[in-house]
Amino acid sequence: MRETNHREDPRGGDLDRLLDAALAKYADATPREGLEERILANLGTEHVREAANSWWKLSLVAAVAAVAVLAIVVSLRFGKTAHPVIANHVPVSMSASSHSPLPAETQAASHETTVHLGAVRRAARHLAQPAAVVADGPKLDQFPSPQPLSEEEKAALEYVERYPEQASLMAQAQTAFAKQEELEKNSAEHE
Amino acid sequence: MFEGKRVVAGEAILSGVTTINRSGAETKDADQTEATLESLIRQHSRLVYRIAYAVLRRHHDAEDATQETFLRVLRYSSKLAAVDDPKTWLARIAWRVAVDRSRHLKSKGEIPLEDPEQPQVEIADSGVPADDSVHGAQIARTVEKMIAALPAKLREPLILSTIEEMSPKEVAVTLRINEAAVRSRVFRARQILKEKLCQTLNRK
Repeated sequence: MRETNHREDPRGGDLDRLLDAALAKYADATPREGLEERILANLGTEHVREAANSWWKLSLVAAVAAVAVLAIVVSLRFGKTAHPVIANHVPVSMSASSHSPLPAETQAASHETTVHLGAVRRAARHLAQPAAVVADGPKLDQFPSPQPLSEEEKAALEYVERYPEQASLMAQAQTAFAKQEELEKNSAEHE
Repeated sequence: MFEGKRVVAGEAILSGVTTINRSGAETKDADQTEATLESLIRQHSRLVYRIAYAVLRRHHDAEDATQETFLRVLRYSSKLAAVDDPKTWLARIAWRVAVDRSRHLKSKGEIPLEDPEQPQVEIADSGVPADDSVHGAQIARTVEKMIAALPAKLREPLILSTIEEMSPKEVAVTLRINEAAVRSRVFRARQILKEKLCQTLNRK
């Protein structure tokens, strides 16, 4: 590492020697006594500090985890009641026509609009009140949905089953009477 | 006797303080790492100190840098087993620590003053004439200033090559350049220093 040019130039040789001496002094540094012990002691302190830091970090992580678990438990327990019950509410106009409690005869006379509209409004008012109950019911295939028979209809059906001949006679008589009435009405209108 | 006491004290510090719960193979590994670390400190702390001093030029800064170097080694102690050449590895860490510290001191605007721990020129009992001693000390200070004025590319290999324990190959590994580059840069640095020194001496 240390080049010398003694043979080439005596002045250069002196310079080299001077420079070598100066560089040797430059690097010649002796530490204070007990450097190794000080380093070892410092490393020991660092060990302790790291251990203390690790405990502190562990306890912090544990606390955060506990808070998170508590928050999850609370949200699971009280979260369900906090949400409002959303009923699958059918619009009134639709439900009124589909769930009309009116008998079949009344429905057949649909040209009598005043009667029909009143029934629809009543039905709408009736259906609007227990909305949640209506919404919970199963969806039916048939439209309009079939309604259960009224007491009068049931009685009429029972009579027909028991006395079919008399029932048919009565029906014929009623049909003939209805036709006669209709004819009279028509003739009165023509006159 | 004194060295033996030191070893015992060092072992006590390292093993007594590390009271983290370990068991079996983990304990064995930890003990081995501690032993390796202590051996590194015993063998190479002076080299680390000299590298730090060569860069920082102040004894207390050099000692701080030495402490920091070994703290870094402690943090990466798990990699100690994989290190092929611990001396060069340590020299590299020491170099990085010292250079970082030097930059930090410069950025803080700390101008290195005369080191209070710098030994004064010994005129009596030195065995050489007093004039020569004073002259030698003056030249050493002049050379130090000249080295500081060199470009970093030339200064760094020159500084490391002045350290007795460092071979050109180790300097090359520390600076991550090839050996031929180290030799040529040191040669150029010396040429520059010689020229400047010649001018200074001629003026006087």
